[in-house]
Order: sequence, then structure tokens, then C-alpha cells
Amino acid sequence: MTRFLLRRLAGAVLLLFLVLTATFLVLHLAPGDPGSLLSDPRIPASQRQALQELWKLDRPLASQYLSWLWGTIRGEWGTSFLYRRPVTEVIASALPHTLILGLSALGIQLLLGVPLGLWAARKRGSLGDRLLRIGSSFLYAVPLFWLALMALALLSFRWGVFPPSHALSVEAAEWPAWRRLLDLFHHLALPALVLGIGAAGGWLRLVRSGLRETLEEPFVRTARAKGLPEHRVLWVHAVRPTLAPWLQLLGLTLPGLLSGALVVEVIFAWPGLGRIAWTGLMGRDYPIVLACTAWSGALVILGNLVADLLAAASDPRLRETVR
Amino acid sequence: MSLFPRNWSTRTGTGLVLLGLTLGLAGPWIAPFDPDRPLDPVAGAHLAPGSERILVETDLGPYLVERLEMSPDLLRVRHGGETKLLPVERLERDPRRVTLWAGTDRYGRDLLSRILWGARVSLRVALLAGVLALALGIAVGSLAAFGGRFLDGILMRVADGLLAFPRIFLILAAAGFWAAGETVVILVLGLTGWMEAARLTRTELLRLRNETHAQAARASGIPTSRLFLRHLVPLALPPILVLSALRIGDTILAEATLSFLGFGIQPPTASWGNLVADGQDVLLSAWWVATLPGLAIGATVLGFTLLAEGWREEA
Repeated sequence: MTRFLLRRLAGAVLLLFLVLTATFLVLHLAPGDPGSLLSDPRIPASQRQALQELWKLDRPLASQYLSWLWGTIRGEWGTSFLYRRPVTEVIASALPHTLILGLSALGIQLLLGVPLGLWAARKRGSLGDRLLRIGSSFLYAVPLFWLALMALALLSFRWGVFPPSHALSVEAAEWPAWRRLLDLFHHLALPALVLGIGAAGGWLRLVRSGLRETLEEPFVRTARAKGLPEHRVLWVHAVRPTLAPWLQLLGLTLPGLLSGALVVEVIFAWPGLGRIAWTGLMGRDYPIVLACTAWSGALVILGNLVADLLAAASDPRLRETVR
Repeated sequence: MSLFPRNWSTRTGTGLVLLGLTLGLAGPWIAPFDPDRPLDPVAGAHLAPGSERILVETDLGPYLVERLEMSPDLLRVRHGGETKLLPVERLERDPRRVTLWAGTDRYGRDLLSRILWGARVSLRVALLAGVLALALGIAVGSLAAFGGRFLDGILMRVADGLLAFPRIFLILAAAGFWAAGETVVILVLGLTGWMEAARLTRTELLRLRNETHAQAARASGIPTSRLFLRHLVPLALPPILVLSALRIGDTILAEATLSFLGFGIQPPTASWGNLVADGQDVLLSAWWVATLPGLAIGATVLGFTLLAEGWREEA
């Protein structure tokens, strides 16, 4: 187990390094050098000086890269142009918001997708199964931003069930902690629902097709023949062997979850990484954009690590065979 | 896989995709109006779908009027709730009755025409970016399968790394640092979308290479290039086609997202994504502006998804 853990960690570190390199390249491969990016008239001279310092623009590319990498690892990310605060602070306030949104959406995805998928696999070909298939195809095909706008129009603007934007009400600063928490969940509900429902269809399909194959396996027939109750056949004999692949897939869906979170954060003005990266791009706030890109990569890598560990815990064979 | 599909998914998928492509191709000829020209900036803004008006085109610009009475030298029109008089010699065309099937946007431009012209842009970008991604993916996958273990290791690590990255951050960062435009969007989407095709190509080629027919071909002493082109690629094609249908659907969504966020196709050029963005401030008062282009995206992507699903079942 320790060996598996170490290999996984080493892989994660390597990936993080690749992510940081990609981030650096995105900045430096843009037409012209970052120096000409800085000729943007909206950037004040003092900031330009600071950035030139930070990115060591007078040195050769390899040296710039190394000093940038070293600085990034030590947490020196410069100052945001828009917020006039250290990037570290801005990210630190955005990260929890993205985490809570992403985790809630993940929870909704699984709570909706997995039971419905199990149900659809058992009632294969029924009217309900077909309706679910059509529904999940539709949810997959329409853009997330459109789904978010429709939810906003109906649930927020027309019926007023949920607040349309931000994480807390304006007057929340004066409220006691428990009321602020309730207010946060009230604001969280709509973005998390949109992000969760948008991706629940994928899980539904995955669980449905995975279980459908397992239900035809001989060991399931044996379990039934032994006279075990159906719920035991399903949960103990059929679901268990499909669990590990699902958990591994969980890791693979994380990049999509964060990409979706960006769209949802922009529409609902949810103050997370995505929202900050988007406003940063709009305002040419390069240090913020780069930090958000690197951090979103780091979040995915961390999530993948957790998913791999869970998968290994659920299936001992994986600990040996995993690369 | 056959040219005359039997199952429901392939039939519906083919139908939707063909419908989308036809409308996209024929857009300029079947669009009722110029997509960029306001039909009536004052009284024509945010007209609901199905509104009927009389289009009066004068040398000072078009008017969408509700009622019209003609006398020898004057037109008495009901325009935006007011009665106005227009001199007849200023008419450029005979007044005609028009139905605005999809309504108008905030500048009084015909939404149906904009969706049709937007289809052209969105589908062109998605197809070109999709083809670029696939070509890159197949090339990288083949290199990985045939280029030795070292190259294979590097290429697959890079693909894994990019797959593990929330693509939209990369796309946005690239599109934001470069000047937005159609070419940049195609390049960015193509260069960030090749990984799945590369992995699939590699897996398929490695699997096929060890099959009996490939071993027999190799034992007969044919060159690797011929083995590759004649004995491996044709057999690897069906799963790659399935993936490509899915990828093009995804690319349509990616382009729409990019344009919606303001870093893709720039207004006034219509694309499905920026059309939805146009409507986000008027979700209740003019619901059709955001809703209808979104449904167009949904129908086309659904077509590609069903096509992929049907092909997979038939293969």
C-alpha cells in the first residue's frame, strides 16, 4: 500500500509540474512576449515594473522559466492589478468557494445519477428507462451555460425560489453565524443544482451500462440461484465489482467538473476560482489568470489522488496492477 | 456501420446532423433577412417570436409597422404605438407583410437569420477544430504506437497531463492572451482536444498489431508503412469514427462556451454562443433571445451524440 501511495504521489507531482509548465508556456507563447502584453495601456507603470521583476523578462527564457517555477512553488505570485492585493490572498478567498461548489455538485451528481442508473439498469427497456435516456441525452447536449440561464430565469427571476447571484446576501455581514451559513446554502443551491444535474446524466449512463453487463455475469446468476434477496444480489454481488472503475472515472470527471464550475460561477457571480479567472481575463489581470489556471490544475490532481486511493481501497487488485 | 442506418439512434442522429449542416450551408440563401441589419431599431427591438409586421423600406432605413394606409403621396403608418406619415417617394421597395418566426434581438435584428448565419460560423469552427484535433490525435497516437517505448512514454504522459487539466482554463488563458478571432478559436480548440483520439488510436493500433492477420502480413515481409495503412488503419477506423462524432459535438459546445464567455467569436458576427450571451440580460422580458440559439446547439449536439451511440451499437 505504501508503495502504491508513493507512486501515486510521484505521479501527481509530475503532473503538477506539467501543469505549471503548460501555464508558463501559455503566457510565453502568446504573440509577442509577455513584455508586449505589458504594453497594455490599462496596466499602470508601477505594476509593469513589478511584473518585469517577477517574470525576470530581461533574462533568457530558460532562466525566466526556472525562476518563475521556483517563485511559484514558494508562493510568490505577484500582486493582482484588479484587486490590488497579493494574488495569494485573492486565491485563498476564492478556493473555498470553488471547493464547496464543486463538492456539492459532485454529491448531487452521484446522488441523482447512481440510483437512477441502477434503477434504469434493472428496468431496462421500460418507459422510465427510455425517458431517463432521452433526458440524460438532452442534458448532455445542451450547453451548461444555457441550462444555467434557464434555471436562473425560472427558479430565480420568475418564481424567486433562489437568489440569483453571489454567495451571501448584502446584509449578511450583520447576521449571526448560523444564519450566514443558511444564507450561504441558499445561494449555493442553484449553482450546485445546475452543475450537478448537468453532469448527472453521464453517471446515469455509466452506471446503467456498467451494471447491465455485470447483471449478465454468471456469478450474479449464481447469487440469484442461491435464493438471495434481490437487493443483496444487486448491492453486494453486482455493484461491488463495478465500484472501482466508477471511482477511477470519478477522477477523470474532475476536470470537466471544474470547467463547468467556471461557467456556473460566471453566470451566478459565485466568487470562486473560475469567476476570478474570468474577470481577471476581462481585466487583463495576468497574475490572477495564471494562478487560477495553476490552482485549478492542482485541485484536479489532488482530486485524482483521492479518487485513486478510494478505488484502491475498494479493490485490492488495483494496488498491484496500477501503473 | 452502414450507409443506410437501421437503428433509431443512428437514424435520428443522422437526421439532426444533416438538418444542422444543411441549414448551416444554406443559411445565407434561406435566411429571411440580413443578420446584421436592424430591421427597426426603435419599434423592432425584442419582438416576440411569431410577430407579424409590415416591413416598409425607405431610403432612411427600414420600419416595422403595425398598420399601413396608402394614399397617392403619403403613407399613414402605425409605428411603435404612434401614427406617422411617410412620403411615398422615399420607398425603396413595396411594403410587405413579414412574420418574425424567432422574434428579434435588442437592436431589432431578426433572430432566425442570426441563428442561421450563426450555425454557419459555429459549425465551421467546430468541424475544422474537430478535424484538426482528430488529425493531431491520430498522428500522435500512431507515433506513440510505432515510435518506440521512449516516445510512447513521453507522448502519453503529455496526453494524460492535458486530459487531467480543466480544459476551459487553458482555452480561456490562450484565447485571452491571443487576440480573439475565428482562426485562434479553431487552433485553440484543436490543439487542446486531441488527447482522447491519440489514446484511442494508440490502444487500437497496439491491439490490432498483435492480431493474427497483422502478424501474417508482417511475416510476409511488407514494409511497416504498408502494414500500417492497409492492415491496421482501416480496422481501427470504426471506433475512431465513433469518437470523432462525439468530439465534434463536444467541440460545438466548447466553441459556444468560449463565445458565450466573450473570448470566442466576437459580435457583431453571430455564433450560437454569443447569441445566447446577447439574451442573458433579458431572460424574462425577451426569453427567446437566449433560449432559441441554445436549443439549436442542443439539437445539433444531440444529433452527433446519437450518431456516435448508434454507430457504437452497430459496430
